[in-house]
Amino acid sequence: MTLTALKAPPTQDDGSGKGRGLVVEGLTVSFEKEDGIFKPVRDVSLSTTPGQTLCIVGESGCGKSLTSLAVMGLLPRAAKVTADRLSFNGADLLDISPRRLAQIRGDRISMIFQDPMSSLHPTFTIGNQMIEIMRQHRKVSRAQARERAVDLLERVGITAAGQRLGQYPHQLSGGLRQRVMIAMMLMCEPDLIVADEPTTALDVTIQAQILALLKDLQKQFGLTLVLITHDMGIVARTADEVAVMYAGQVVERGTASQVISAPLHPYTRALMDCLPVPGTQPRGTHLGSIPATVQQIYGDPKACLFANRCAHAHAACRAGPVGETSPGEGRSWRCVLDPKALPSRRAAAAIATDARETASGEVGENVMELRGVDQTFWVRRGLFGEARRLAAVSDVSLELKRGEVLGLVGESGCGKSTLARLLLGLNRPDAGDVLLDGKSIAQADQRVIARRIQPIFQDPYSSLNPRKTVGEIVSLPLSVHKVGDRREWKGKVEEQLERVGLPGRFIHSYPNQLSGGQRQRVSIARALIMRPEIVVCDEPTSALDVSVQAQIINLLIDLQKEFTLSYIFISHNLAVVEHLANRVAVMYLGRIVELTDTATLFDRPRHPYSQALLKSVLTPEPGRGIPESTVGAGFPNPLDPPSGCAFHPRCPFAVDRCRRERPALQTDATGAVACHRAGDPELAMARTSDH
Amino acid sequence: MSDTETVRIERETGHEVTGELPPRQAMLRRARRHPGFLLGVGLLAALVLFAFIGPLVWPYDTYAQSLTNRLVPPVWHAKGSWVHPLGTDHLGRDLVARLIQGAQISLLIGFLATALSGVIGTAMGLSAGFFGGRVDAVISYFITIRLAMPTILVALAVVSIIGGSLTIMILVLGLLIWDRFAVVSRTAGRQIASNEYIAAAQAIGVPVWRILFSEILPNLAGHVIVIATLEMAHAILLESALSFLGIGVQPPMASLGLMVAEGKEHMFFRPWVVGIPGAALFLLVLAINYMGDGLRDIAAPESRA
Repeated sequence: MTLTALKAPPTQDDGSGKGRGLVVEGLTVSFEKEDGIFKPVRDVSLSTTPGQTLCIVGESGCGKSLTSLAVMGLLPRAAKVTADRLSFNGADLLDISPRRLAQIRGDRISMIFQDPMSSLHPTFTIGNQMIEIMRQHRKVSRAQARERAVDLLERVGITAAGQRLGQYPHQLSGGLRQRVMIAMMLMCEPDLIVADEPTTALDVTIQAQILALLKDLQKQFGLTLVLITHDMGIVARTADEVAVMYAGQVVERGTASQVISAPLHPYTRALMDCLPVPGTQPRGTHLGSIPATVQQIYGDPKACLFANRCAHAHAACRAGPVGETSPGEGRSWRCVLDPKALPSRRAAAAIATDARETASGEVGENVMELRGVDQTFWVRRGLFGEARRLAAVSDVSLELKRGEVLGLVGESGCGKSTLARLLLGLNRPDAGDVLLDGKSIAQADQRVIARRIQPIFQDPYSSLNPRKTVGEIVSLPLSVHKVGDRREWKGKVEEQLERVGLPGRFIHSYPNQLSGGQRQRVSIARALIMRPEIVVCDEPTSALDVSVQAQIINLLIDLQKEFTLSYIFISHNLAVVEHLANRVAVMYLGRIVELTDTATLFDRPRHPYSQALLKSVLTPEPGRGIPESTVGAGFPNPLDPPSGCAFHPRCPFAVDRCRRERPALQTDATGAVACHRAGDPELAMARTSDH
Repeated sequence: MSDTETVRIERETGHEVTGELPPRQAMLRRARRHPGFLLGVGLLAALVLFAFIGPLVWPYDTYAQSLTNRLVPPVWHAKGSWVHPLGTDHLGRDLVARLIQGAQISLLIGFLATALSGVIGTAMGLSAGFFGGRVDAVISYFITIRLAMPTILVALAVVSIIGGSLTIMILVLGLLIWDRFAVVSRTAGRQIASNEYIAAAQAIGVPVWRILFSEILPNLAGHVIVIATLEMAHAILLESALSFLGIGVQPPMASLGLMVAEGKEHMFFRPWVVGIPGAALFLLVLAINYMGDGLRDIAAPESRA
């Protein structure tokens, strides 16, 4: 049975080829709220070209996801959807019975969601789910559907596909689930796939693999892809056409090279400037950032919605709503400014590429040291199950110098967060020692440690107690350490809030009244109010939008200079680490595999894992495509670590010795690396070929 | 309740979507818009007033017998009169006066037994959820044992050994119905403890007791209050059942369950003797359940099932 034999008869078409694909004109989504009508999507026009990729990009709250849900007819009843035209392959999607829409959905159009953990049904095997979705739409036997499922799973790079069909989603890793999701969406061979942040929840290496897979399948099946993302890197590497959305409107449209290389709207330019791009800015300098957050308004706008955050705004921007300027050919923008009058982007982009090598902060003596630290957990399955050993951190030695930023990178599950807890004194090591100023903290009181080291956590939604006011949250350290009295606290808290860029009146606000970026500023204020010397930042910006990420990074840079702080900066975002860190430690399965200064690591990574990580970084360079990943998908199960070098099952350079013998971390003039083949010319070749 | 809600300020278009209300105000706002909750609270308030203000205004004594006036029918009956609006019982005692005391006792037992069990259950659940490991294993063991014990039978056994009285009833019930508090605060406590603000507090050096009381407990309070209302209804029904069986509140005191028991021989010809205390019990439990359901929606609107 061939795949095309299963293809449904094409939906009706006017024959001219025009109107093929998705056409959206004047789409508006409105909700009636107590205080007025709220339109999270207003007057959006988009279209796709068959076989091409359209990226919709913008910050959260800009209406990207709502637009896609409106197209799919998946919005809740409370939402009112209007449009001048909303059609797919000539079929009107607005004036259609829900039944017919459901037929098109899943058959001609499919959708891939962000969270692979919750988008598969937990109580059915993946095989059942894949077969069912096909039998919903096609008259095929179970056997035929099964055959196709196996075929597709193989195509999305899943080995032993036949056996996988009988597995449940919880038995698969995040990356595998997203592959299954993609295979499932391909069951009926749709013409259009809408993917809403399909890789945001995944690690960088997996992200590169999934995107490469989507692009590859697109070529094979002639799919049209609508990719919703907040990441300009993804846009640059995958898009043919781009629509930039802001506050519910499309503010700029064009081809990828037009929008990325010659952006016309100040918002697109500002978004691009927020990204730390290796080699364009000196390390540790301010990134461009967009002040404030997306404006959500009731009713219709009376001015340009971006005016309050725009660096180029003037009176004309506030005179009235801004219409679309469109010179044709799919290019358009929504700005009153003459694009030629805008200053050229990044005049400073010419800063020497060796900028990062020249910028070295002043670094003092050791303030903190880890010596051969181990942390082991025992995991018991069920009441009577056997306890199994999980080595979260093994034999880690590190030192942190005064005024230094030490980056810590690695995939999820590599032990970064456990290491952070060890540094903070929240976990005490099972073996080895954590030293502060040369003294062990193993027996130290938490309050003594607390005065020197403070954390900033990842999730601004769970790092602040929802029942407490900002004032209570920030003054908690003062009250625990009995510094001054209540009156003094108020003054100190207000001063601290101002220092992190928040107005003093926030003292009476509750966390739910603040935006994500504001909450993260409150966390920073709390961490710094006792003037610690060391701050452990555990993914402090990964839950934030790029514009807010840039604000927070700039703040961290300023505070470091002001208080001579040392940071341990844990992140999976390598561009951010490269921008901030003096030295970087790469972790894999609880061990440090490479530890060296930033410039050396990013120019000449020596460990194959570091090489793979760096290769997966998507810089916003249009036309470069998705880098090919050399490491397999499977992050090993930490309960059952591989023999020898833990990385060998994924390593393209693995030899017999790697399977037998664990390489030690060996230090030389350029840094430390744990690889048997570190000095091998073959590895050196691999890293130079990429540069 | 308050008329501030009805005043709607018409604002021009183009104004910004405002942020959320503070948690407490948001909760009050949800409460004011929840008809079930308002009905429950109103009904319960009326019953509390009846039980505690009633004795001050009602002319009849709870214990005054009048054998010439036995089993007088209520006012809506052909032979009824306004002298005894709900009639009298088999000893000629005024039923309104008996109901007043019955309601007092039900509310008292319901409230005190719930308070006692709430403290026990929350403390156990919170420790299990926060500390985990061995503490959790031991406490879970106790919860399992408690869940395996039939409440009525245990209460029956204990009361028949030490004898029934109001204090004993409160203690027995309070020591028996903490299981739901423990189960819920264990799960919720564990979930709250996994938040990063708890790790932040630990990193600041906040002592454990303070983390439990000032960081976790306020976030747990919503769950505990919801369970408390439901357990209060549970306690009231248990008290009635025990009194009906004759091992709860002892005569001549009045209790809703006891009134049903005393009236059951006259049930066929004078059904109101049983119907009136039964209806009172029904109303009381209904009011509390409405309030509890409402509280659940108000305290944690996202976890509505």
